[in-house]
Amino acid sequence: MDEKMESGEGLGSKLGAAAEALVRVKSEMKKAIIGQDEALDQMLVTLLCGGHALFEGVPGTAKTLMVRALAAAVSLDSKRIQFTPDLMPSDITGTNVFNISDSSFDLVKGPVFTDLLLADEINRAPAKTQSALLEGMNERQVTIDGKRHKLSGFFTVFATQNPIEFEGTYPLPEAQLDRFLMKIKIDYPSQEAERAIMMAVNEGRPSDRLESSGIIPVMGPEDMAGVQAALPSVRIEPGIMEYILEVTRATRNHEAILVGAGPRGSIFLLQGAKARALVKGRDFVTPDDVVAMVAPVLGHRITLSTEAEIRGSSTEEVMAAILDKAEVPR
Amino acid sequence: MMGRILPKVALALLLMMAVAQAAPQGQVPQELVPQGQASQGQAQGADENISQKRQLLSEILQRPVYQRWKLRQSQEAEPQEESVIAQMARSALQSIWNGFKRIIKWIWKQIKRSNISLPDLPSAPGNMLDFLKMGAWAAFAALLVVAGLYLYGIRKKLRDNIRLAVVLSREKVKDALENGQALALDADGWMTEADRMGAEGDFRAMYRAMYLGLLSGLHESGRIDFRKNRTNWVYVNGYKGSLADRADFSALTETFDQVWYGLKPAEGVSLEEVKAMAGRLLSGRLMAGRGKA
Repeated sequence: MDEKMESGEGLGSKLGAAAEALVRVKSEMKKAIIGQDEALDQMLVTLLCGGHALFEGVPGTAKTLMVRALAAAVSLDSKRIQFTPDLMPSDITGTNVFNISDSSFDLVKGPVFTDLLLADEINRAPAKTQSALLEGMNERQVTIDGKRHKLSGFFTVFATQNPIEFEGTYPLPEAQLDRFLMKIKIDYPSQEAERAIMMAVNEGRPSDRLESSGIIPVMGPEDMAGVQAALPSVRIEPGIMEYILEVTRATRNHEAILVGAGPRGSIFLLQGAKARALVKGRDFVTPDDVVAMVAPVLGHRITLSTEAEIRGSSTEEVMAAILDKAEVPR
Repeated sequence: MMGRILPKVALALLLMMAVAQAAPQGQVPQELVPQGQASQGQAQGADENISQKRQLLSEILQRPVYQRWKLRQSQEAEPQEESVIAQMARSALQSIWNGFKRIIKWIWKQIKRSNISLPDLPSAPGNMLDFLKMGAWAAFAALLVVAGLYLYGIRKKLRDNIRLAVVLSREKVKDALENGQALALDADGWMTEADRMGAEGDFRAMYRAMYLGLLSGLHESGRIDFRKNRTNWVYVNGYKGSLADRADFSALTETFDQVWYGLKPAEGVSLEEVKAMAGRLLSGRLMAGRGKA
């Protein structure tokens, strides 16, 4: 279906143009990223919804490259911060530096003043530094020395967490996790994809060099703003809205879940499903869009019960069990 | 004794008829009866009063509560449309009943032809043979009456059941459509519904009924495993059949998505093509069914 629909043909002019543009962006990103199709879709969904995403995956799965590829394809600026235990809030936001020549303070902007920010290993920095990013994520502004500074309208944080090492880390609190639109799980590439990556390197196209991939910008910031504005026009059947509600509310009554997803969960699930429909070249949502968004959008908003954790249940399993009980509208 | 009972029965019947004639046809709310109606003949100058009352009556009748009442009355009065199955069952019952009547007529003719005369009442208790013959005839007649009553009872019961079945099947279809329960009807049932919806001009619902019929038929033939918690593309991806069939199924699913979820006309495929594709897939179902048998 997706191959056919991803042409974006036959849609309304505004939505059709948006869908076609997104399809082009994705194909440009695929020049640098081999495999990881679902992760690319989810990144585009995050950008479309104006949210932030938390990457989870083992090192060396092209997370940084993905962000850079996205920025290159849509002509946006990108920066990267490596979070460490000694990172200070001012290292993120920036600071006022005294200029001796005119006896004034000049603002030296931190890496937060960008469009796409890759916050690498966000859980390595203490809570105070993490919270410096919160204001920017929520309000798209930061306060430096009591003065507010506006961030880019496209400001999007792609944060990574290392799922294996927990020593010397500061796990993100639930309230902070809830601010991320979705958690993008990045698995190892398939055998076929890994072979293709090896072949590319062997032919002198290093997989971590964006320049060698030949990505060309296919959209500008204004185009992206237009696509974002088109998102509310994506049609959703009332039955699918009920389906979203049913799934979200089921997380609050499930025996394996201690704390379920809040209203932000259902709102983000709705937005995510609409954005995914557009990324897939459609101007209407199908139940498949909702199903695809359930684990990434709701997974990090729930807290498993102690019994479930002792049993060894994972969030994905619990979400799958919830979907298994919900009736698909058709 | 009969002479005493008959006049009483006749009197009772007359009384019942009189009561039935006097009783109103429907329950009219008290508020609807104009109060001045009884004295209309007595008061000569009451025309104006009557017209006012009529005006009041028409105003009262315009109130939603009486409009709803009128609507309900008219709906109750409307005869229920019968399904094809109900019509077939009715005609079968009618033919059984006609057959039974023919048998009775034939027996009666046989009796007439054979010039069998009913025996006279036994003149003396010693004439046991005649008495037994008369008893046998009486038993035969009683048997016929009982059989007739029994058949009549069955017919009445079946007729009631058919009426109930018509109502139930409507409810079933309504529920199935509201909840998208593909297995509530078989493929043929859904296709009949689809035709009906198409005839009513509701093409969106027609596509939906057709797709639900397709899911029902493919589940029946074991090509998909229908579960209410699975999305349509899960069935397409897990379709057990030829690649050509799968391509048709995929195209039909795409069309359904466009029409049902997207609320727009089917693009790139005509209704005839959709029907043909669904027909091909469902004829495969019949073949698979025969293979199983």
